[in-house]
Amino acid sequence: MDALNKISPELAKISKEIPFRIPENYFEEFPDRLQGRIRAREKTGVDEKRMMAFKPYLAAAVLIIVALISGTLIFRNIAQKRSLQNLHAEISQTVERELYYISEETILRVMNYTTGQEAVTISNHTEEIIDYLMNEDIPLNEIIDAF
Amino acid sequence: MHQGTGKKASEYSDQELVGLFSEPEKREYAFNLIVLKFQERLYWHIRKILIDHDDTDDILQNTFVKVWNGLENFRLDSGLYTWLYRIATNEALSFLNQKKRRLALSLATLEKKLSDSLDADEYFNGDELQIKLQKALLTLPDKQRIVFNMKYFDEMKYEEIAEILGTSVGALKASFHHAVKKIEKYILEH
Repeated sequence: MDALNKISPELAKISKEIPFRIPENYFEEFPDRLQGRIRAREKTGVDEKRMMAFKPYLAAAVLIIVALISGTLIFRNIAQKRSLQNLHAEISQTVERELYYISEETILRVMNYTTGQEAVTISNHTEEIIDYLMNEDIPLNEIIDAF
Repeated sequence: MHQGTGKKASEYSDQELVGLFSEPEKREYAFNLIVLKFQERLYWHIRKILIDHDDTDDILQNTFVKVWNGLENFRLDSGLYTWLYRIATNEALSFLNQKKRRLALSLATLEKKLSDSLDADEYFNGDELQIKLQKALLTLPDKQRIVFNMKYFDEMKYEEIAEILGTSVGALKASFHHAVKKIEKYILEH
């Protein structure tokens, strides 16, 4: 290759022989291996062709199922939110209605019952102390400072 | 020799092979002739791109499977060999790109991997200069390497290469010239 010699004398020195080898009998055996592969593909290819024919329907079915599931989930979510909101409203209405009929005394009694005996005791002591201080003629600002 | 015609696979013309393939009862026979006629040239073309024998074997099979599936629609607008070469080149290039993506390799890493496999390849028996040339080739962009292989090793005409790769003759000449210069530089530096 004279042209190559002109462009690159270094390259022209290298043998053009392809330096790769192949396994023994590779080309003798290749056609049979290839035919085997093609036959195997043809067999599976029949199934693939059937699958290809059904593919659009399959895709549509998948889309419908996904839409149905998403729809159901969204609907359930909204319904749950609504029922929660309804429940909250119902509770607050009931509490309001019932509170109207409950006397302050009952509420205080319930509060005392729920906070325990200790809270009641402290409250009684405080009142006693205040009464005592008032009786002793201690000025009001000093009593306030003490608490 | 095949099926009593006394002809070797290499003696069949493209028209004869395609004609035989179009007859359902002779389809397998015609395909076998095509494989016998072109397998070696296509193997070496792919091997020079992929370096590794097993990868080459896979891609050669894929190429012929595509030929089997597509030959019915082949209209002899181009030569059979040109068409086969084009399929083989595309298959080999796709394989390289997939390999890069699959292994998340950069171009430089893939070159290094191929270069290492060259040293370790039990099916490589080149001398020191040939190893150096192959390693230099691996530093080229894939398409430039293919142009170089087709021109340098296969001694194909630019017009033939242009038809296979779908590139202009001018671009191919420039590509080959650049490839030669890069290879020469590599050889002198290593």
